[in-house]
Amino acid sequence: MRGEIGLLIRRGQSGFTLTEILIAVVILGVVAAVFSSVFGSSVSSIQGAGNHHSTLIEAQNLLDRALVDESLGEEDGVFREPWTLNEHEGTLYTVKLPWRTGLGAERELKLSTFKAR
Amino acid sequence: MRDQQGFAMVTVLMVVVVLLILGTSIVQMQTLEMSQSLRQEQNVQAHYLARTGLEVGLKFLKGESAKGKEFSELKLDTPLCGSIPDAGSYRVTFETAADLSDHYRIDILSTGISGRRTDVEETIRLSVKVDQVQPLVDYASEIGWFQKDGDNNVQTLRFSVLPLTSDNPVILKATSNKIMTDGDHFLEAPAMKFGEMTELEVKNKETLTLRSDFVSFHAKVNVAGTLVLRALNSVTTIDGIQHGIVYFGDRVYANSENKSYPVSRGYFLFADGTLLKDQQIIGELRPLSDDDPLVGQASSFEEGLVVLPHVLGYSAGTWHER
Repeated sequence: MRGEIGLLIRRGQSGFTLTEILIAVVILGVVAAVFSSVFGSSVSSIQGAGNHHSTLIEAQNLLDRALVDESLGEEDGVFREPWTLNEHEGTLYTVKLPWRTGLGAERELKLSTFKAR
Repeated sequence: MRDQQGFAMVTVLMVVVVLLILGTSIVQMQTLEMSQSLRQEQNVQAHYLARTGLEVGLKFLKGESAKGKEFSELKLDTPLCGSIPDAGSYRVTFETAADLSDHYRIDILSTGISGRRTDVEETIRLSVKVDQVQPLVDYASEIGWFQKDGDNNVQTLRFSVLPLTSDNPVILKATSNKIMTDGDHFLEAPAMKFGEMTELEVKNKETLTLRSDFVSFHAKVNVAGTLVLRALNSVTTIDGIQHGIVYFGDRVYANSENKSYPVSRGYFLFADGTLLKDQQIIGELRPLSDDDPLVGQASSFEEGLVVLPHVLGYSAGTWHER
């Protein structure tokens, strides 16, 4: 009799724990899947931000150089066109450089400035 | 043992909460990182727009001073605004500082506004020292166009086989009452002004040739010999003939109060090579009306402003008679 009671208790404990563990594993699995997805996209997004930042620095340097170096051309990403601002003639300098987002999409970074003649 | 029931669930929930907090933080961080990166791009663009404004502001100041304007005449109250498509806009204002001995200071404040997402502004201040515009005229006495003689009341033009030339306008202001010829003379300058003396005399059988775009006679002119007017850069061309401007402050006499040339006081357009001889005008002297733009430009020179850069072909400025 004592043995039966002890078996019932163990059976009750073991059945409940198994269900509990199964639920826990499922919850953990779902959460881990979501977390890893979020973590993955965050890492790639931060990579994209890094790409954008380094492209911005490069574009800034290029635009500064283009203002004094006429040899830089469209193949370098430097575009010049005659422009008039407030009746003053000059040149509009535009630098266009591609950069990649964390998801791999290609975007274009554009900076413009004007230099009077 | 019963107390242990649900312990695994509690642990899992704790882990889930920790992971959620961690996940949310990471998402927030990456959003912040991206927005900062994009805002930095706007900052850089705003900087270049401000530099664009500086270019425009400097060009404006140069243009105004090239018109021969005095510092006090510069119109610095109105902001200069403009924009570059897909980049943003700029706004330029000016601040003037107190007179510092012989120069002024103008601060150009240029604000670039990049508005791709939200407006980002950057302002650059550039201080410009503006010297008083240097006179761009030569005085005949200083460049040796006059010759001293014994008579203190009369000065003679210096004789020279080749033209006596000056790249700047020349003021012929004698230290005596009268300037007269001593043989044939050939003077060449973008503009000439005979002023603040009693008389200019071209003696009989002598020739005074003036090659200029604008000749101004404020003194009485006696032409007993020959006065030749030649165009230099040509104020205007009519029928293929170059023309210049001459101003007579009085009638032109033929060495006598009773005899004079058929020319009155005022501004005239002269054809290249026009000469006054024996009370006749050979060539062309065409009167100019007071509202003629050429008269406006020429009279500005009279008032001390050299404002004929496109006509006279030299850089403009302001001069003050000494």
